[in-house]
Amino acid sequence: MLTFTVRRLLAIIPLMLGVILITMLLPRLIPGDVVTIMLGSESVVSPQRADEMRRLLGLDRSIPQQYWDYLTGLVRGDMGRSLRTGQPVGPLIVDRFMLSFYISMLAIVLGTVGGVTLGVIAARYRRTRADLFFRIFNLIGLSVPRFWVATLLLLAATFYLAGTFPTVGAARADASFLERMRYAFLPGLTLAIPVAAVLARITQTAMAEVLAQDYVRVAHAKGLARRVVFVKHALRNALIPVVTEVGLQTGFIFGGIVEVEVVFSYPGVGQLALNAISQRDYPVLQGVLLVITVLFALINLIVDLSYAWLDPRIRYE
Amino acid sequence: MTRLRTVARILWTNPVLLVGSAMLLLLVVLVVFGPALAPYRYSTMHPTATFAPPFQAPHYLGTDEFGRDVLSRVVYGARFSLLIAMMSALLAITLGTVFGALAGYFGGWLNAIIMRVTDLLLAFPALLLAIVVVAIAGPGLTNATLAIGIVYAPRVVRIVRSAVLQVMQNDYVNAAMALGARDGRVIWLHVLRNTLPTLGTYTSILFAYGLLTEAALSFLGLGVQPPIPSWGGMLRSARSFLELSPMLSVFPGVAIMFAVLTFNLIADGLAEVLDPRLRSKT
Repeated sequence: MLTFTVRRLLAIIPLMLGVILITMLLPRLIPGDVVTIMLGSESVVSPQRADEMRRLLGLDRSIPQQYWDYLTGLVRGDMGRSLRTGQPVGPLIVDRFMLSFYISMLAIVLGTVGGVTLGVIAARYRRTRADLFFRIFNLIGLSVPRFWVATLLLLAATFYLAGTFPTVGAARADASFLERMRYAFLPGLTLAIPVAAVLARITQTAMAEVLAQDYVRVAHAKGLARRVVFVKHALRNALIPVVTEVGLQTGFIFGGIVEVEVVFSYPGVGQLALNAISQRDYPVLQGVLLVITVLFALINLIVDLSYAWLDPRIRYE
Repeated sequence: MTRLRTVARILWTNPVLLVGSAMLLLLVVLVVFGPALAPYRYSTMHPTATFAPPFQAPHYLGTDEFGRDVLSRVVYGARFSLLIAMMSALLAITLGTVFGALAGYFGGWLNAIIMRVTDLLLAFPALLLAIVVVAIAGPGLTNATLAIGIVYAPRVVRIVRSAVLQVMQNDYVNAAMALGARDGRVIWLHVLRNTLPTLGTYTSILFAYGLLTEAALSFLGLGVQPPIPSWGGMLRSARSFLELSPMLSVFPGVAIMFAVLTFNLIADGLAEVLDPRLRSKT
């Protein structure tokens, strides 16, 4: 188990080297570099001045040199400084990331609890009329654009729930945990809906398969209550495909964060990335992309490791 | 004739596919006859009737800030949104099939290179990657199409590669090779043809992804540029008038949901037809 974990963790390193290279190259391909945009407001831009600025920002060095600088910086825990504000990128991303973290956590928790509950109920009512309802919920949940659901929730909150859930911005830094969650609730709920739709479907299928097994019939036959059979005997064994999907869904959630943060003007990493793109702030964009991909890889590792807990027959050597 | 009858029988026994196909037919009619069906042109302004409320003649879905008819814009929007979805799905399928088939069939270092690049691209959330690609290439219809196609191609590579590996286990592939058929012939005639069912279902899913991603890009101002109507773009401009005219934010979203649902239904139905184990009632 330990060897497996270490090996998987080490495998993330080459992936990261590639990701860093891509995140280094891609932003620099965006037409118009940061210097032209920064100096754009000045009436006459002398080439000397532009060159001087590029030198100050370290942009005159070759790409391999910049790559090496970035890597050695990372090892020292330095992700560079924002080209626009001069702020160190690391702390900036940590601050913004915490805000997005609340949204993602809410989305995963609400989506998983909602989806698995619905899926178990759906498995109970399989092959009845109610089945159609679950199928429609699944398909609609998959078909609604997240930014539109966000807009509708925002409208609903504005017109019907005035003041219960804030629709603009995030909680202040000194706010209580509950207050932060209140701000993150609507964006989180938006992202939870498609997650719940997917998980409900997968839980239903997995439960149906497990419920057809002999040991479940035995459990029924020895007179256990249906609820006990469902939750204790069937659910845990049905959870493996569900857990895999939760891992995959985090990728969608990270993408969706951009959409909901724009709608709710929530200053998380999604907005940070969008601003970094429009301002050609390479170190910030690079940092955000790097952090997101590392997290995504780690979550998938956790998913793989959790299989062993869910099914003791699975052993990693 | 028998073929037509088979199709009719499949549709009849599979309500999901039937509903999906009916909805697709409606979308195709909108795309083809849109200009004839829409009451106005998408750019016609009615300066005296801005923010007209919906469900009243002559603007049944109301008008926007320039007094443009929302119904007409939603109808025209179908053309652009579906065009992008279709072209990007085709691009993803083409790129994905070529590289997936190469990786699966030849294996070795070619497989290693293709799969490492695929892993790398899959490490990024799709929408974020699409945003970066559009930022590089510049916003607009063509670039949004390219970005969406490129972002979803790696998923197709994986699917095609594993389908190819599976098909290659079959004796008839070995037989064809033993008979001295050239690689191209084996790949095309024996391998790829048998991956078509998998690809067919996934194409429909790609249409759904393409529509959603295009809508998101246009919503962020990176997709189709105004005054060309796209559903995502309409929702973007409606955002400024949320309190004044909330209904403006409703109809284009319903259109997106309808179109995406169409392709999800078809994918769902096709999967059921192609994989009898999934059939719920037989």
